Amino acid sequence: MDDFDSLVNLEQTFFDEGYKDGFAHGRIHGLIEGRALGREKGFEMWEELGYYEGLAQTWKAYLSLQGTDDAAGRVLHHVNGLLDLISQFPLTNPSTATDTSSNGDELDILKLLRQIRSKHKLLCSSLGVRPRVHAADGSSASANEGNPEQGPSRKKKGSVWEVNTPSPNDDMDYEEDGGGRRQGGQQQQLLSF
Amino acid sequence: MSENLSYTVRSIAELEGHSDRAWNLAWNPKHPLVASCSADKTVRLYSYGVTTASALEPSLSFKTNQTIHTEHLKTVRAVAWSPSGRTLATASFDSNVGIWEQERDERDDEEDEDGQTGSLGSGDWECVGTLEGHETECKSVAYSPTGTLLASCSRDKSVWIWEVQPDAEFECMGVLLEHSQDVKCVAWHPHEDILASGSYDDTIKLYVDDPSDDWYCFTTISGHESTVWSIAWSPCGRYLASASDDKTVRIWAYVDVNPNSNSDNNRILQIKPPSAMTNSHGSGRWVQVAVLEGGERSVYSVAWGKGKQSEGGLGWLASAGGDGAVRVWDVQEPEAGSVVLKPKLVASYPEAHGVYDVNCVSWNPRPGLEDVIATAGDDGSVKIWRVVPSSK
Repeated sequence: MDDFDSLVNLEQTFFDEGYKDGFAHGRIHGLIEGRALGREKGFEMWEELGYYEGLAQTWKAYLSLQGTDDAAGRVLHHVNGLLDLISQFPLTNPSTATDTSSNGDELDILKLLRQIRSKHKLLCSSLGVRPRVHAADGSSASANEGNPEQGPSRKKKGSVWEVNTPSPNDDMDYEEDGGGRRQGGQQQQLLSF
Repeated sequence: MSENLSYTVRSIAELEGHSDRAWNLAWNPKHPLVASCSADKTVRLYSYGVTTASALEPSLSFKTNQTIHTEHLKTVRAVAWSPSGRTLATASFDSNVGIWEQERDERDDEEDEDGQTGSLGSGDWECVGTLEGHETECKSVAYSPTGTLLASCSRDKSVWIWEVQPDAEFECMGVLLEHSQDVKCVAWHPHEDILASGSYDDTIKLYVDDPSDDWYCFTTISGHESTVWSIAWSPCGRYLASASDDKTVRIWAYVDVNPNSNSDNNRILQIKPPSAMTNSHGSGRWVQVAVLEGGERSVYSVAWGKGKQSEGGLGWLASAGGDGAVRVWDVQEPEAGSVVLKPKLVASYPEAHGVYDVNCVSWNPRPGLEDVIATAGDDGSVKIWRVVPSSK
């Protein structure tokens, strides 16, 4: 009777064979695509974070040169807070939940990202700088000066550096001042989760 | 609708003047002044006087005080007075919050010891500060009851908390990006430094200040089926009322989950910041304790005042919305052992602003005038009402 099993279940056998084949093939493609997507998203995330970190470190260096008064102390506290949050962000892919995690609780990436963004906005507000985030589309970020809306006016009135590149879809001339800034303003944060 | 309600909403005054819809209004907590803001980019101030025509019912007379042509470039969406009554904050669709104070001349300083100056003087109101930071339209602004903190919220899903420093300087204390959508309203707890915000994402979030100087959201209240337009804390501080696009007004409370608490104990706990809350009664959670039908359309505004009931109670809750009617509920303590509230509708006035939506309703906070309520509508007018016992 066993001899007839392979004959009777012929179609099922072929189906299983084909399924296994397809599954293996799909897995390969899936891994490739997943890896590419992960890389892209990871790049975007860290591009934003890198911007914040650079901003924070530059301001930290600047503030330590400025000496300490009350306002600077507060701002320095925010800067350090931001740097601290960014340092919590993983540089490598965190292991999946099955492994024993080194920190107490799971790392909530989205929440951390939100906290970092909030802290960055807070920092910009206390510095008197308008927050600007440029995603990966080629235009560069410039630390623009917003109007400091409160009290101790920053001694630095001119902008740190202004790098304006005309956007590819605009025929805007290379303007020093208003053009680049205005165009930067329209680019909202392209990153959203 | 049956007219056997125990109270009647009686019209006292109609204040016209705005050339576009009136979005919001605020009673000055210390002076006889009411401010309204509008899509016409101005803030109008009206002053009122109390004349004791009869001993039972002092009557109010209103007159236009001033129009502040704010420097806002777009609609002024909300106004709020500081607890001292001297500063006015405006939230605008141009994403800025303006801070306004009246110019002081020397004469005002003389009358300062007596906090009862009839009006704030007649100086012009000038902008003493602009709080920038939001990226899109600001929807609401609110001062904390101590006057040290100012909260603003916006369509950019964030809630910003500012610390008020002397000399009209403001320092940003926190940026909270917890909501997933447009934040419509903010309201401070009457006793603690707890902030509540309502959003287009149908939730209400509560925030508190962590000792390490970081504001964070410690709880989210869900239950509404649509946008939460407006929130109001009860004067006792134990309940939170919210008005929503789903046509209901809901009341929430922080309740002890311990089933063994004896029935004498009020299961509704005092709301305190989380660090203090965990010490008493074990843990509690936020539950909905009442659902009120707010009308046939969205309810845009809810306000909880002390009210003028003869016996105790938790106050009067007023609501107004797209169906044009103003409703007032009397809220009493829950029965022993239960947490459910059963507010009773005591007054209703249909078509308070004619065919127009009513955007805001607010109780007069000053002592002696707890039955006076004001509404702002899409017709650009502000109407003043009094809730009086129905004549039998």
